[in-house]
Amino acid sequence: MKEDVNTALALLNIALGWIARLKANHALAAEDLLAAADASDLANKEQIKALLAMG
Amino acid sequence: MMITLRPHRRPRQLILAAILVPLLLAAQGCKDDAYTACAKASADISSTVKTGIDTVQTLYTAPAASDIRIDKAERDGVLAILGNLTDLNIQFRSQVRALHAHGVTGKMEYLRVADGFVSSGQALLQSGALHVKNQAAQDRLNTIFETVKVALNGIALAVQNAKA
Repeated sequence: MKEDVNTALALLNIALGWIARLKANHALAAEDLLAAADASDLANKEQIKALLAMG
Repeated sequence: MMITLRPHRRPRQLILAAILVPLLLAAQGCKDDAYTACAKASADISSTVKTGIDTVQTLYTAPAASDIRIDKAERDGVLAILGNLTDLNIQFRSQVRALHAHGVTGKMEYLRVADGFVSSGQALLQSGALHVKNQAAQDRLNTIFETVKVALNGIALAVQNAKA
């Protein structure tokens, strides 16, 4: 019984590690999306400027 | 009916629970939070604006005799709207980042910021009611602006559907 509990605790520990990594990846995904949108908007503004400069 | 566990079954169930409960929690964690939903929505708007700018470029550089060509004033009018929309999007991300930096996790605050962006964006699109001479060009621009409107409306929806 004690071994089973230890096994369950070890598995729980592994699963909690997965969740921690998932949450970290999720936060990173949001940061990545915001950074991508920053770059895209910057490129959009540059493209608008270039188009307006065409005369 | 009362369910009783046989003593030798308990350890197996304990192990199963140790695997399943965190996995269920992890599955719940996969749903976007309000912060991520805003980030995705902002990236979508930016991408839609990019399509709009590309379309303007195509229409403006079309051969002079082409029935999709727009003139300089028409080009400037559309680009002004897309430029202002880009500024609004940048401002939206700035507000979203500020909320996240302050540790705000509730949907309501993100929804308030998203609603502000959607209202300003819709007002901008309405104020710049677009009329170009060539009908084919008008149709293409209408499609772009409709897509932007849909993407704008999608922001509030995405935040509403985000996990609390």
